Amino acid sequence: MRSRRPNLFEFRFYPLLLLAGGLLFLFISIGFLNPILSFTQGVTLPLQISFHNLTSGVGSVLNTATHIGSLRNKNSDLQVENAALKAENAALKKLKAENQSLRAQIGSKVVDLKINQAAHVIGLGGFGTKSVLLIDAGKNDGVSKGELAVVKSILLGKVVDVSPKVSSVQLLSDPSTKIPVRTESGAEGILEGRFGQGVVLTNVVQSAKLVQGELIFTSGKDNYPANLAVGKIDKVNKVEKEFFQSASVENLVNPNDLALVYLAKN
Amino acid sequence: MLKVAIFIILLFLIMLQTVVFPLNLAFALLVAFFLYGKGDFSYWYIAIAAILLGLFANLNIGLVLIALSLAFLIIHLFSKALPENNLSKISLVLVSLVVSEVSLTLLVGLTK
Repeated sequence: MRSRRPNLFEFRFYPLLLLAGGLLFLFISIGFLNPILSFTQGVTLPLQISFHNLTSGVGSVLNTATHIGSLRNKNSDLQVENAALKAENAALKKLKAENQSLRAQIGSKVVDLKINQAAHVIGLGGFGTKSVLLIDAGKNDGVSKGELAVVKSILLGKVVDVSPKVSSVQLLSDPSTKIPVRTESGAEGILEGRFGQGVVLTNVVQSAKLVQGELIFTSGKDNYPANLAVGKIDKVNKVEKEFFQSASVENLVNPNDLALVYLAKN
Repeated sequence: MLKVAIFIILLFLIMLQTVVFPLNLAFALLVAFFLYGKGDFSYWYIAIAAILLGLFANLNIGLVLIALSLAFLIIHLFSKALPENNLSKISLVLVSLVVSEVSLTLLVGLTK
């Protein structure tokens, strides 16, 4: 066992690499390299989409094969649930019409999300504690920072980084996510992303009632439109001594399983 | 021939990373190549890996290049300090996963 003596000549490439990195960082930050990035992303995007579709396909085949037994039971449960939901939906349609007519009379407006465009999911861009979804629409397509990524009325996250043809959507599980929310029964709290724990509902007062399986929606505060579904209460964590209670939150959709997401102005 | 094979594996690995794996496996592959196939290693592979990673993961390529270069420098210094045997090499490949992740998180994450 012997140690080798460091030879400084071997390290001569690092200053060059760091200098090149610094220059690239500067040029990309000011948008000087956007035409080149746009061209190269045009070449790499089809590859990324194919890879994403391929891995999703393989993943779903494997998942089906390993869960075939439980899927049968789940299917019959879902058929019953579907029938119940259809009945509930019919009742809600009547209530919606009634609600709209009442809002019209009192002059209150319903906030509807304006969907700008659809984008393909091309992968995950997270590293460290970051949790990011990559989509194939960028500055060239008119995407801007702060736009919301949704699927129907389910909120997936917010656009945080835009390059010419690709954008990064910060998912709800990202630790920097903090959204004011309320549950179906009206309990208010904050939805937070936590590294290794997924999504958590926090800051819910002890007097509020959290029920497992209840849906959670945005409350309309802090620049997020109201009534976008963000998840379902999974496990309630209530400790009497503490000031607030919390709950782990189950995602309504797995972002990486999606083929398309929709972008809406916030 | 080995260089071409490594380059193709690197390309596929980086593409797969954005859909399946964490973002630092390509870096570990580079470190393994540096430790085991020294004669064939080129420092431009670090630049190539950074460019591909930046493009595929929608990160600033410059910052990724700085992060990977610094991470590689740390591994390089460690490799000089440690005895040259398989245990050291395997340990360095494993450490490189953490070093690159920390480096990327610090440099790219903090600038967001």
